Amino acid sequence: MAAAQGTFWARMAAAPRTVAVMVALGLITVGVGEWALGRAGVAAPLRLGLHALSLSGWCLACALLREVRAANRRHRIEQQQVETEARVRAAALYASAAYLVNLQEDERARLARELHDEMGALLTSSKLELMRVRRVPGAPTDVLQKLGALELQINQAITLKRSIIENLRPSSLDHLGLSQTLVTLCETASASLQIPVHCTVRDVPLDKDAQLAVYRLVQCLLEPSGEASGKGEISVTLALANGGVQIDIRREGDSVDAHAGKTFDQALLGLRLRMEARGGTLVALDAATAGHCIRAWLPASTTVTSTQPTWLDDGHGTSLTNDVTSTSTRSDASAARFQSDH
Amino acid sequence: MKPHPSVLAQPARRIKTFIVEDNALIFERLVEMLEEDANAHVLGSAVDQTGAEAWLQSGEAFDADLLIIDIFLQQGSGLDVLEAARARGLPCKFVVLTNYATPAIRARCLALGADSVFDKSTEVDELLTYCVALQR
Repeated sequence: MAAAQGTFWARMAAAPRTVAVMVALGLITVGVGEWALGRAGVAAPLRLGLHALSLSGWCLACALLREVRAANRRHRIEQQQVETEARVRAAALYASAAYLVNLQEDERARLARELHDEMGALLTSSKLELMRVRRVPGAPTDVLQKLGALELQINQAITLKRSIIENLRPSSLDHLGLSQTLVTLCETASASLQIPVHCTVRDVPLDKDAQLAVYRLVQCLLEPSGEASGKGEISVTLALANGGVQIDIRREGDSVDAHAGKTFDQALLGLRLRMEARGGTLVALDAATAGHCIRAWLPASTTVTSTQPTWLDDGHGTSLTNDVTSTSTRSDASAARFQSDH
Repeated sequence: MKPHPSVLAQPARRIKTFIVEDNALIFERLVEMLEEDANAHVLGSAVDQTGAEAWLQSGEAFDADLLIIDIFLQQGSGLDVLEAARARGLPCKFVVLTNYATPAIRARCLALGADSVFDKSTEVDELLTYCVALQR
């Protein structure tokens, strides 16, 4: 009891404003009550009792009010702690995702470099040597034929090696930039999917890692899917939006749902994490209003921000200033047209 | 070794060539082919962009007839070397010899001032023919 009282008085002492309000309300109540009861001719002992009762009521009300407010405050603090914890965990998740992605990309780049430097050099060197041997005078015809077959095999090996290297790490990203690399990717996808792939891209201010993230996003979403092949058409746009870069991959006449499945969903989640780890976003737009469209946004700088982008035109048209426009069709993917504003 | 067919009827003037190539094995084969089959004389070589640009600043660069550039280098890019060579105003021919002679790479090289682009694996004969034609 003493402890409880001590606690009560300690809490009262810690809340001078509440005590002041209690005292003020008590004095007002007693004053008004005394005036009213006196006019009514109530006996003094009864008036004293009534005053004591009203003061007790005020004390109780103020104490209850204070408890409610304290409970609300505790709840807010707990909520903030939960939110902070969630943010910390999300940051850790993004950092982990970014680390894994970087690890994977570094490994891919290393493999590509080794394939190019070691295997590529051996194959090319062998090819050059073989060409010289074939020109040695007096070589029997059958030997020349066998050397020709060998050269053909080396050519196939070189082509295969190039394909593996480009898949591991697109060299054109380093030498030609993101926009031209996406144009080439769309041409390849058009030939592979056998549908038109329209590519509307422009030069954008992204660092190398962000460019690679955009490339992987488009590459993943243009991967052939059995059900989707030969249907509809795809538009890929890369444009500036709200201090960053917006990427749309839109399917017309076919559904992104055609890709639906656990693997695709996981890939999409991975891509979303990759974008968010860089301070960006990735959403699948509502099919009813925006067609079947995957939209991503990345900040122009490498600084991670939580700013939500304002999307560009959601309609089927775009309001972009295009630097490079390409359309690839199944009939002639190589006839892609490039037009530059520069 | 039989000379490249197009060399047979050529005069003896040897074209002075500088090669930017980062792989020793390929460089060795290339020198053999250029000197034996195309009557070229290799002045020197660089394995990276810095080395190539240092040579470009030297007086020897103005003696060269031909600059052969690979795109993938130990450091830097052959495209930058090509750009620097063009900016230097050298009177020689600039040729890109690469394993990645895609249409886009070819277009970029020509836009940067390359006189010709050859695929390292499939168009070496064409390079030799080009070298021989330079001797005329």
